[in-house]
Amino acid sequence: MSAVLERVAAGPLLSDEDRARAEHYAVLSRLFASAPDADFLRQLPALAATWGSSGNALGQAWLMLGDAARNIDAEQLEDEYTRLFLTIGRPDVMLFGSFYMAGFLMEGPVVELRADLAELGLGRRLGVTESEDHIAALCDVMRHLIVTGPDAAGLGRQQLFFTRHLAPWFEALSDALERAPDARFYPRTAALVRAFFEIERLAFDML
Amino acid sequence: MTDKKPENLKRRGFLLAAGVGSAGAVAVAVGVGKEKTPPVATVKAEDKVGSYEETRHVSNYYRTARV
Repeated sequence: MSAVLERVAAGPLLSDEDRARAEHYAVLSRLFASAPDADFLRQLPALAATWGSSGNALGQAWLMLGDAARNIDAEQLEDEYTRLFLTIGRPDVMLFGSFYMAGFLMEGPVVELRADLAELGLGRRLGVTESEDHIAALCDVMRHLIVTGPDAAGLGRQQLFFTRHLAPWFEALSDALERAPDARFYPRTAALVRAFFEIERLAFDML
Repeated sequence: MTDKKPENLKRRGFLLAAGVGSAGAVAVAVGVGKEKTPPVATVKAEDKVGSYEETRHVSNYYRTARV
């Protein structure tokens, strides 16, 4: 049994804020891994009721997302996802970090990312065609690091991974989402992307 | 846990104030709270939420991470 597996099996006690962070990464991953299905779409307003608040940027972002989810159905969302992110050639919005960090897909940042993932014992699932720098994949890694490593060493791993692979480009991704043409839902995810990752960045700076 | 260190208390206070602190109400929605699920050897196709998998620990992670 690997060390990581033992930690998962033992169920490390997560603080409320680490659980909330893990949940945010799970939600962000699901938002971008594929178009939200009807079930997930229905859950978003409930999540917005939990985390929504007019008092801070994250809360406002949640209120906006909950509202967006109530005003679109899964079929329309599937169309929007496909059009924005999966277009052959140059999609309207790129979800891959290397595009923002290096200007091209599959560039140096992916090589560095693969080395860091290997160090963590992670790799790409067989049959997955997206490269490892997809926003959903990076969110999955962060969530994995949070639930398996809430201790100081784990926090250090989270900080390193976030700083190298998410911090450099989340603002550019948020901008691109906000400007997505002829779209009703994904521009309203931009605020959540920006607010949550900005909180993460500031919080890591306090370590 | 290392919460007793001053910088961690500061960080924690910041996260709570920023709105990242109230977990629990959405446990079912994002699968959190199932971290004690026994490891599994395989991952069902519908468990996929992203692009990473390798060995048993990641299989388990995918199981717990299902949204």
